[in-house]
Amino acid sequence: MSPTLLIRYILHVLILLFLQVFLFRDLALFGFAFFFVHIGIVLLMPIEITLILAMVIAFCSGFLMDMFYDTMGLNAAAAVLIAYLRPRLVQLFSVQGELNNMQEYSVGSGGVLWFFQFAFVSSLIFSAVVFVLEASTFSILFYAALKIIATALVTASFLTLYSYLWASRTSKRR
Amino acid sequence: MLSLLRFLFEKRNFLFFVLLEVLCGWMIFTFNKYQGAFYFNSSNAIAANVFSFNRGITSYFDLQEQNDKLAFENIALRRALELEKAIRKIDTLSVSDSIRRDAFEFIPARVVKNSLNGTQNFITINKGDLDGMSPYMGLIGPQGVVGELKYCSDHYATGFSLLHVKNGLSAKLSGSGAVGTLQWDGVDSRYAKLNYIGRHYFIQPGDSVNTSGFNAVFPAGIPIGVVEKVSDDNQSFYNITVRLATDFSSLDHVYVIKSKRKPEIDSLEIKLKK
Repeated sequence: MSPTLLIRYILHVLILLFLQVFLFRDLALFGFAFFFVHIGIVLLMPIEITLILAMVIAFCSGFLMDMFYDTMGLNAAAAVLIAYLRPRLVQLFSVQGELNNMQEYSVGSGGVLWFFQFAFVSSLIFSAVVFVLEASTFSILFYAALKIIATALVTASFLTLYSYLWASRTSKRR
Repeated sequence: MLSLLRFLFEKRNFLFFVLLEVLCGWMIFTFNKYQGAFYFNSSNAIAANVFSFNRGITSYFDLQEQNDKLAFENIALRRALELEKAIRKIDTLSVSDSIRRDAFEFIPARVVKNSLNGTQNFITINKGDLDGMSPYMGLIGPQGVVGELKYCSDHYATGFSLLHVKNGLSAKLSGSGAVGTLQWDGVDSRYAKLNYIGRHYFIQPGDSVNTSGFNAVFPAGIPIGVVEKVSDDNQSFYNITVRLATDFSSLDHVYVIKSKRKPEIDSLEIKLKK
């Protein structure tokens, strides 16, 4: 793996963790649209990282979030799930051979729409796991569904914007 | 044997995935049951220090509002004190009863972390074991009941907020004296449900809801909220919505209630359970 790729990924991790803990921890648009931007740690992971290591990183980041949210194991379970599904999810929106020359899944490598679709489905799965397990009663299922869709929408939008800012930065440097 | 190993190696990603998910599942389902898991929550050193650093900065922004709240509480307490004095003067037979008076002790604390948006919300405060905190102590704010402590580390303690769908609180209605269980439904942080109030009671919006004093965590008569809406839906119990007294979105100063009678009451009740 090239050092620039690794350094960029470490920066992603630090920035996203910082944003999640200090800015987005208790922020919810209209009370039900949450920003789970820390899943960017899983989505923006360089492709060369093996699936097992990817799941370990996802588990650690999820576990750290659980400590801040007092939801033991909830974020970790959801993060491991999207890390495991990531190679499959990314194929959903790609034509044959498109993925071969990518080093990471980002706006820079696949375009805005492609990355948004990928981020949206990933955050949909993530928030579905978190909210259904957290609610644990079916009486508020409709409200949970609303939270899941709204959260996936704002999270994916933020991550796309975040990745877009990086893409425009790196292309300017070239 | 070799083919078995090869099979396991080929499926290593999936097996590792299952292993991690089982580990997460185990954590989810045991967290609320065992005290042993207490280290992995927001009262631990990393999370609590980050929160109190964060709160140290943000607490300046709502200083005015917090001061107003405390001033209002002071006014309410002064009024209660004057009323008490007036009653004393009239009723010469009343005796100041120190046994009743000293049953509860109040310890001030500040909130370092509080959430509203989950369905199981927790509060972390800046007092811990070393300040005499212990699990199952009540937590009240200037406006009313806030929650109940669950875990303590050396310098911090964390506990259920009232906004926790799995945690109920014994509550008493002022007008009718009916006792029920207050439970949050996980939707709006300003309202909660009051369950198990039979339809033979007369209840109307505006009745105040206070702690019942049944569980030795809270003294009786601490405000919880006011009845906002009552409907009976032809069920055996009323469907009551309570507007909570405490504004959870701006919580800063709280008091921890240390009940000196709790060990005595608990040891009595444990005899019955045996």
